Amino acid sequence: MKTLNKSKKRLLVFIIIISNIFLTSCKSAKEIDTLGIVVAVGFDLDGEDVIITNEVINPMGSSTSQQSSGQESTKFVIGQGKTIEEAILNTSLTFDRELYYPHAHTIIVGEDLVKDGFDGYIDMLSRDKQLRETTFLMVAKGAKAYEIMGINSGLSNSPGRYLHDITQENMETGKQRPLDINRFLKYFYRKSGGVVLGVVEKRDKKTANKDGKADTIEVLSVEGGVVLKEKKLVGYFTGEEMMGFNFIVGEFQRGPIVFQTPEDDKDKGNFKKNHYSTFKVFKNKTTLDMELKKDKLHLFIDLKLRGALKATQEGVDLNNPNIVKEMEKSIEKEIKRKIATTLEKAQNEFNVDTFSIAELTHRKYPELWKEIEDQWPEIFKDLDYTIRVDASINDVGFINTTKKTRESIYE
Amino acid sequence: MNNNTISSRQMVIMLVMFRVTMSLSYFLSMDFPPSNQDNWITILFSSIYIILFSLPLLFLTNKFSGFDMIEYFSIILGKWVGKIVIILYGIYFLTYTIYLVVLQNQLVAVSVLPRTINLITISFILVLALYMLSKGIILLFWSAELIASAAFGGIIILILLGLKNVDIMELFPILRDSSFKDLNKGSFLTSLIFVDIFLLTIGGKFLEDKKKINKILLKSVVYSQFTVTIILIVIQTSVGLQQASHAIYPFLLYTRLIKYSSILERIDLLYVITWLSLHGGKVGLYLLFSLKCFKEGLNIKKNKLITLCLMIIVLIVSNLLANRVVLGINIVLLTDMLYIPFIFTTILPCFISIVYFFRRKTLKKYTIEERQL
Repeated sequence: MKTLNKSKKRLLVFIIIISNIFLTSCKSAKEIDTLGIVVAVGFDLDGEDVIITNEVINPMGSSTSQQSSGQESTKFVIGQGKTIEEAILNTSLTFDRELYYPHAHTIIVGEDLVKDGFDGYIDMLSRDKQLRETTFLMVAKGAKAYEIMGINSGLSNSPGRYLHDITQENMETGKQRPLDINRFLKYFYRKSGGVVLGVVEKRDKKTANKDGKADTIEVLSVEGGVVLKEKKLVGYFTGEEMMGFNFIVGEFQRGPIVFQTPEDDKDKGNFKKNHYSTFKVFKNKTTLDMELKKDKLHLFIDLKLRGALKATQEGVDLNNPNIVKEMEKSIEKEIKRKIATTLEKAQNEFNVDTFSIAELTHRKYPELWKEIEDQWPEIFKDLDYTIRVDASINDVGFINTTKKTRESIYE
Repeated sequence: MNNNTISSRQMVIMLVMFRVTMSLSYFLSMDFPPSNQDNWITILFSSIYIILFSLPLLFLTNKFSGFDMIEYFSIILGKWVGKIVIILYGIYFLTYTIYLVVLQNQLVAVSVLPRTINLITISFILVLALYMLSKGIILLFWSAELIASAAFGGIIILILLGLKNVDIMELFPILRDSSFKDLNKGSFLTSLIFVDIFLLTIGGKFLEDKKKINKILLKSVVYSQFTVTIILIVIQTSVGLQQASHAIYPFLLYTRLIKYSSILERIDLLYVITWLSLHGGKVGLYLLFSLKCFKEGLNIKKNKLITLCLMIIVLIVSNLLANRVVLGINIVLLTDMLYIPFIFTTILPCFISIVYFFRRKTLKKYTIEERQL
């Protein structure tokens, strides 16, 4: 092999040193003490201006130094401008850190902004390189985003974290719909339907204090969903309706279903008023199908659920197979009711297909779809449907019958 | 294996990887007709067009298997016309290198170094290309076997990790919303993206078994188009059809969605490393092709001089373009520009093949049949 002469060796060493200077990435490095790490962002409308509220981590208020410094773990920094970008820019005029968004896990949009039309602000969500596509997107129900962003009634060390945690923890209840930016945009870009997005709401809740008296505190609730039609807010689904919604779209995972307990009269189940049982779903499969019956579309919603009986208020004799069957029927009835309520509301009140039924029709009848695509809102409004639920109780826990039932059996 | 030869496997890997990189940056095929859930079919169909459009060059390479494309162009077209055509190819390869450098610089800026000035990034890309160029074509293929295999592993890992976001129902209904005309046009345009036949026509000279050229092309087309189809399917079904065509880097978007609680997230850097390692090799190889063309066409013996000149041209033009143009925005312009490679992969070789037919008797001594005798 040819050996390098002295001058070439020197040149090589020089190049290596120069390369090392560049390769340390110091050119665009950002020191952590110059950054304001944003954990939650809020967007609101004020006249024609956009208000951006950033919840920024306060290094002096971190869990270890919080007690000694007495400072909050996060700070709220607000900016205003004609566009979101300008609002962010204007924030830096009064804040001594560069706002850094990759760690933002929740975006809250004020109700005013969503009512005004969301599409003008969507661009930033998909164009911005810092915001992650997995960030949750929620609407502040009946409030401005900044009005709810400071509330922390949980054990999390910041309000942003508290909101993120209650969203994450309640994913299985089926009473909400936490959509991230990617999934939101996926539905949002579709021509045919609307979108149901998660909500966050400020509520008063009773709590106990040391004196044994009931106090009221402000909490955040993520129950329910907001319905967007043509990029504007048209209404809300309640928590119960969201359960129906999640059953239809097949996103109900492991939530509890409260149903009326059938009366134990050995042969047939009658219901006693205000006596409820809880069934916890651990497996659910939704199948949607569309059929053309006498030139009219008919939707079939088939659900197969398996779950466990978690509790009964009224003791029932689970040794009696008829009772278990009656309970399963009662569960099915309750789920059907939930689904029907949601569908009726979507058809009659909102007149928007948020269930991707349009896509189902397109898949099943592509030729027909070309003809009816433009009339879909009218067709959806009058769409007939059949709900078929097959629920089975596969687990009753550690006991078979309650003490009261056992006594009545031996009497 | 001989140290001065390239194995069929190395050639196939190189061809497949060069084609796959085209689907990892902006994915033009998503915007081609029918621009809906059937686009994956156009990728598969494009295999036929890729083979069809490669036929003239493949025919000539088979005939002159002891020579590379630059050499047999001179033989067929004669000294002067041959030189002009070779210089034209040199300009084309140089333009393609500039395009690759601008694209690579753009992705680096988007993903990892947003504030670094373009000149520094481009300089580093070119220093790397220069190093590869200095090692020669055979060593490039040898090292590509290792790098490309690792990069392919990276792509598979990313695809698998993102599968939980895939909703296969997005692909339905199949073939009901697209006309044959649209599918055909989409396949035709898609085939114009994958122009890496030059690897075979220039590198083919060093193949261990030159008789396998047709087999190599066929294998590489099948493997690459299958991989690209999978990539397209996972992108479209996870980010949605509409959003996928809006995105400039759809596969980057796909990788940004990978999240398994807090254990595994922000894995998109793996994508950037994979893409850069594959793309770096591509820049080096096309610069080498360009160098060979200019050296032969202009009859310059001094390797260093011409390399320096080309590097300066690429550096200046790439920097100017990088400061002014964002690739992936003007889809119409990009689609129109695809006809330029079509001229060099198919139209010009077609004419050269016709010339060969007229001169085939005088050229007999160069062809494989004659040498076998």
